[in-house]
Amino acid sequence: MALYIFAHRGEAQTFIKNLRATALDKDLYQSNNGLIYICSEGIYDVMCRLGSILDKYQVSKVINYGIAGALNNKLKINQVYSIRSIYLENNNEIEFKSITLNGDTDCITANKRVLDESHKNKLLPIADIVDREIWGIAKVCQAYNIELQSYKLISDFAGASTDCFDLKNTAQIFSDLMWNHFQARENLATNENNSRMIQSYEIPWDGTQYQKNILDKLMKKIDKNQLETFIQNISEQNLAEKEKINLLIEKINNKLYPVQAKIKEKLKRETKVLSDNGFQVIYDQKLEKKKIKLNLEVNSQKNISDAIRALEKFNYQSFNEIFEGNFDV
Amino acid sequence: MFNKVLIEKDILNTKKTQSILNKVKYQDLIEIDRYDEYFGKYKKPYLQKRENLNLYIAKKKGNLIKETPDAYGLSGDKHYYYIHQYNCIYECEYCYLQGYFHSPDIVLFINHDEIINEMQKIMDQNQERVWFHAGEFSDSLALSHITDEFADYYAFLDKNPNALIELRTKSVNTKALKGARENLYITYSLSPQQKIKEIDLKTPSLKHRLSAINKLYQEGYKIGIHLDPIIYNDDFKENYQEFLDELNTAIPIKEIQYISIGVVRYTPNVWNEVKKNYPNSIMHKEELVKTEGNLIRYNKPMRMWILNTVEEMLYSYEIAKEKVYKCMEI
Repeated sequence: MALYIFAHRGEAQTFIKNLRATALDKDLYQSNNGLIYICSEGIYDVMCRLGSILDKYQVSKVINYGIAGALNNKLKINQVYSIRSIYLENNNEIEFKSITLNGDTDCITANKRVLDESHKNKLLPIADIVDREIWGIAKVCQAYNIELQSYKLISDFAGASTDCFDLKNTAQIFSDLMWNHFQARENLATNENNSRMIQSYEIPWDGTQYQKNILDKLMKKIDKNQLETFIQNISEQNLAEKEKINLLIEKINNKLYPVQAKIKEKLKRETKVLSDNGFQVIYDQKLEKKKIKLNLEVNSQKNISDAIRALEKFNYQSFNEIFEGNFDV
Repeated sequence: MFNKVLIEKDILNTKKTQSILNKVKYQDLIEIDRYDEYFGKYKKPYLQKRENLNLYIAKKKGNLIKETPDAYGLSGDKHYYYIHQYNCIYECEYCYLQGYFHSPDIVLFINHDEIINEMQKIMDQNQERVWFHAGEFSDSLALSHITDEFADYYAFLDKNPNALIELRTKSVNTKALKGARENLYITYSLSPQQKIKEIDLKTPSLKHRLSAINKLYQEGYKIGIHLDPIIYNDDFKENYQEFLDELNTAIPIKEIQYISIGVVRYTPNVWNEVKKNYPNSIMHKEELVKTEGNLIRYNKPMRMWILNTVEEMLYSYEIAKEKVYKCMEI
């Protein structure tokens, strides 16, 4: 469900009324459309309580509406702006961490109301809108990995000419304006959802989690038609399901990375004399370090003789040439 | 072009600042005390350069010149880079600037006189050739019609024949240059056109870059080429052969002063930014690994094979071997 979050009850009043929301808890309302939470001004209250609401209810997205001040005098009063990057003024310093949403105008959350020009001028290089709580809301949503949208209605110009003390008188008008914006957006979103198609592709065999992880990464890179062809060909082979997945991984890798496949083939060829004579040959999986590790199980004199002969035959120089890129593809 | 222009109060009324202001379009002009009170102090998303790019005009404090890392330029010489600008108007998907300053905003430093003083101090202590590279944190030519600093650097070059300046660029904006010099090198980063189209976003096409190279070469400029970053694809050999043929028609490859070749690479920070900024980039189809030196790139055999292949192709155009070097591969 959605959680609609406002700083003040005055801003939320039209939403509470039109959504027929009823009180659920202190500052928390419920309707068929979702929850409404009045978080109060500033970041501290919302950072303390929002987490517990997200824990308790199945919230899938958070939508913030609120009035805010314009730092940039080109913004229009009574217009709603969707918020993009969110910055924080904290103890008169600018917090390094910002949070970015899908909007189009930046907002800075100030640690106090912006009542003079020097405070306004300090914040103006960073953002065009100033509010008092969105950074706190965004921080909690980020921690809970919950989608957040924020819409700010410009009520006044921040600085010496601010009207932020008279907002109670105009709260109803602002709440109506935000409701109108909300309704227009909801209609648009419904139309978009109806026209969206979901595509997915399932692998028809069960594998280990490790195989699944590898396949997940590879499937993002391979062409879907090519993948279907591979699956069709492998399906016809008489193999266990896990073997089929291994073969699929190999085929995708060879298709995506033909040079890598050839490098591995060359390494295998160069070290064949060792593996044919009982050595387990291990080379750096990332192919970054020019070295091989050999494991050998000895249970007879013959093992030792074979190993010595194999080591004498092994051509390290040829192995080294592969790492120097001296081969043809 | 710019959303906000932020200028340090102390330099607002200087000739250089006013000259820049006369040449740029912007929505708001804001006076600030110091650029570093804002720039890099908070994380501004890199891709906001598309719709919300700000310009800072400032004086660079601290180090104006730094020694380059190893394998940066031709070996045997001393190499430094000078810092006169942060960030770039282009948007190359592999660019390390996206993980470097925490802001895509452009900073133009106007105290070129102080930079040149530092360069002069180095020259006064050296009898040998010393390289000064521009473009470590920006494109050297892209905004040069606005910054217009070359007159100062030309004077320095004329006074110091052993000082060599390299202007690294992808731009065809050459009109601010003031003529060829023996110790001035204009160097272009190039890739096959398909790669430029896919990942050198908003940069001039190969055709335009080659045309600019040809023009500069005809005018007597010394030209260097950076074949960097090289990215593998199925037709890699054919593509590079065709591309080098095109380059050879713009400038005979053997006449190029030096060519660096490098394979695409990322620090982990930049790689994380790339994943975030360009989730559909062709780069995510490549098989890159975290290698020694904490770089994310092709494994060693693969990148050495790529470098050797391009190097051999270059030699077929009769360029002297000492003019070709492998970047970041020692």
